[in-house]
Amino acid sequence: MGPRLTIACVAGAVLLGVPATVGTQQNPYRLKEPDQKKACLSCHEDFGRKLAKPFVHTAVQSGECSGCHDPHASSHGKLLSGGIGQLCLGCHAQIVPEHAKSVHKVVADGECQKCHDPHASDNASLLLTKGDVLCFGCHKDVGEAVGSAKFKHDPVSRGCQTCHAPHGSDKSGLLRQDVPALCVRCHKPGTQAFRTRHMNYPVAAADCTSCHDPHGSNQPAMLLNVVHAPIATRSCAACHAAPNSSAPFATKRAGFELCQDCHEDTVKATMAKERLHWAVADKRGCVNCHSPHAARHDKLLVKSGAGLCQGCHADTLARMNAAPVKHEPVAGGACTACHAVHGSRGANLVDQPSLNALCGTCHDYQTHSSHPLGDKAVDPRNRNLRVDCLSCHTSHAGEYKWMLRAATNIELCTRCHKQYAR
Amino acid sequence: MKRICCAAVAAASLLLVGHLRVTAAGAARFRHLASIYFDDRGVGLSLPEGVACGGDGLVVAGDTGNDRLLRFTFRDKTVSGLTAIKPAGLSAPGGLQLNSKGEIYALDGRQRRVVRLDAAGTTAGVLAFDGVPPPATVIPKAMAIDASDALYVLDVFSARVLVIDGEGKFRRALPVPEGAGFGTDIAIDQAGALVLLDSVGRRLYAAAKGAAAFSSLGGDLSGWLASSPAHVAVSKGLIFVLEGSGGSIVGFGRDGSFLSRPVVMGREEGALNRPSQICVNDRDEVFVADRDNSRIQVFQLLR
Repeated sequence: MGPRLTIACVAGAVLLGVPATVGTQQNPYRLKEPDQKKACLSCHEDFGRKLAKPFVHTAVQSGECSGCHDPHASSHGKLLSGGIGQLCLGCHAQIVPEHAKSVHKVVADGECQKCHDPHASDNASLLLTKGDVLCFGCHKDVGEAVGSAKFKHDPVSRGCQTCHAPHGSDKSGLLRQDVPALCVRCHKPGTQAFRTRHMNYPVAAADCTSCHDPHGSNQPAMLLNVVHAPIATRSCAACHAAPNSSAPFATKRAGFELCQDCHEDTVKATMAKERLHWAVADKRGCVNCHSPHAARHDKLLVKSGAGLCQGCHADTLARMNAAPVKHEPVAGGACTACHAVHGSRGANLVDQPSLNALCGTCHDYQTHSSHPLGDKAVDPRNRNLRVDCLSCHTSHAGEYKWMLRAATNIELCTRCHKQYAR
Repeated sequence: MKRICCAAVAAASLLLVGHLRVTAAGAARFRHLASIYFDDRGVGLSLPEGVACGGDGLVVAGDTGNDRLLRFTFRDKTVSGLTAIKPAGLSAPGGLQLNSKGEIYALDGRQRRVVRLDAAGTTAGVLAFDGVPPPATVIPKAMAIDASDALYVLDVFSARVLVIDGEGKFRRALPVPEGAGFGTDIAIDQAGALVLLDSVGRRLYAAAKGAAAFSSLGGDLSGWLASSPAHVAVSKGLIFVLEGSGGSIVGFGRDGSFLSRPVVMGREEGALNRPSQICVNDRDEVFVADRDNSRIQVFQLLR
C-alpha cells in the first residue's frame, strides 16, 4: 500500500465518522418545546389573545411554532417552512380520499387558509366563520339562490356539509354519496306519495338533479327554475314510453324528431338552413344543449354562455382564453352574438348575408376606417375573395391590438399591398 | 486501430438512425401545383366544400356557395375540360365521392340527403336507404367508396356507418364507438379499411374490411392539432386530418402516429383556410376544397 492510498483511507474513515459523532451530540441551540412557545410569544405578544380562543390548532397549543415556521429564514411568506398546502398535508394527509373523484379547488390549490385559521378560531375545525357563511363567500350564486328560494330544502338549512364533504370526495361534486343514493336516504321511493308524484315512473335510480334543485327553488317540488312544459303538466308520457312498459324511460322517438312534435316550427326552420349545427342532428339532438326536464338557465340550456359551447368546442375556447386581446362578445361568453345556434345560411354558423353585415350589427365601419370593403373590393391575394373585416382582424381573439392580424400597420398593409413591402 | 474502427461503426450507425429519422419526418409533404378559382366562363368559386378524385386525372368539386359541381381533368400539372354542372335536385353540394364508373355521389347540404349522378353529371336519383334498420331517418354527414363501389355513409342521426352496395342495397351497419364524441368524417383505403374521425374526442377509429365494429387507432390527436379535426382522407398508408377551424392538414401513419404538417393556414396560394374535403388520386396528386379561400388547390404528395 502506497502512502497516497493510506492517506485516502484515513481521510475516508474520518469523514464517515464525523456525522455519527455530530448526531450523537446534543444541539446546544435546540429550544425545549415549552421554551419555544415562550420564546416566540415574547415578541408576538398579540398572539396571546388568539390562544385564548376556544379552538386552538394542536401544534400551536403544544408550542410547536417551528412545526410550521422557520425561526431564522424562509423563502416562503410568514417564515413558513413550506407552501401552505404542503405544510398542512404533512399532518392532515387523510382529508382527501385516496381515489378522490372530486377535490375542493381551494384544497387542490393548497389554500387551506381560505377556510381555516392556522392558529386559533372561535369556530370548530378552526374555520374562519361559522357554517355556510364561509361557503357562500365564494359560492355566492348558490348562497343567493338558497337565500331567495321560495321552496327550501331542509338539509341545506342544516349546512352544506350535510351533503358535501368540504375537502374531497370519492363521489363527484364533493358529495358524500352519489345521487340518487344521497337523496333516497330521506326521500323513500317505495312510498305511494313518491310514486304518485313521479307519475309511477321508476325514478329511484334516476339522477334527481336533472329535474330538482337540491339547494332550493322557486318552483313547486323544488324543480329547477326553468321547467319544460311536459314536466310542469306531468305529461311524462308525451315523450317517454308508459311507466309500466319494459323500458319506461325510452323516448318515443329519437333525437330532434321527438322534439319536433311540439317544436315543429323551430325544427323545420333549422332543417331548412344550408348549414346545420351538427349537434342538432345527432342521436341526442336537442338535448345536447337543452335539458328535456328542467334547468337553471333560460331556454332550458344545460349550461350558460360559452360554458355550453365548450363541451364540444373546447379547443376554440382554449385558444380564445389564451389570447391577450379578446372580442367583446367572446370575453363575455356570448358566442351567440355572432353564431346561429341551430343552423345558418352562411358558413361557420353565421346567419347574416355577409361577414361585413354581421360585424355591422355592432360596428359602424366608416367611423374607424375608409379602406375599401365589400363586394367591389377584391382581395389582391385571391380574386375570389372580397376585402372584409377578417382581412385585417381576427374574429374571436388575437395577439395584437384591435385583434389586428399583424403587430404593425406596415406589416398588416403589406400583406396585400406587397409593392410597399421593404 | 480497433478503437478507430468501433468509433467509425458507431458514427455510421448514428448517421443511419439520423437519416431514417429525417426520412420519417419528411414523409407526407405537399408541393403546391395549381389553384383553381374560376369555371370555364370565369365565374368564381364560392365556398367549395367537396372534392372527389377519379381515375385518369378526373376530379369533381362541389362549388357549394353556387349550388353546382365543377368537373375537370388534371394531367401534367394542367387543368383541362373544366365545366360547371348544375344537377337537378342538388343544392349546396358538400362531400363528394366518385365510383369506379365515374358516377358521382353528392351530399345535398340543404336537404341533407345523398344525390346520385351519372358520369355525365345528370341526376340519377336520391339514395333511398331501403332496408336500413330503424330509425328510418338517416342524416348523412360524410361518405366513402371502396374498391368494389360499395358506399359507406356516416349517419349522424343514429351514430352509425351504413354500408350500401353498388346496387344501392343496404348491407350492414357499423356503430360509431360508444365513447366517441362526434363522428364527423369517414375515409376508406385501398385495402378496404374504414377510418372514422371523432372530431370532439379528437381520435381516429378504424375497422378492417368486413369488421363489425371500429377500434381505436392511435391515441388522442390533441397534441398534434391546433384546432378540432373536421375531415379525414387516407391514401396508401397515410392518413390526412384536416383541422376544422384552421387551415392545417396533419399527416399520420397507418398506426395513427404523427408524420407531418404539410400545409398551414393562410390566404396565399399553397396555404388553406378551413379546408373541407381532400382527395388523393393514383398519381399522388392531392386536391383540397379550400373553402374559405373559395378555391380548389392541387398539391403533389411527396412520400
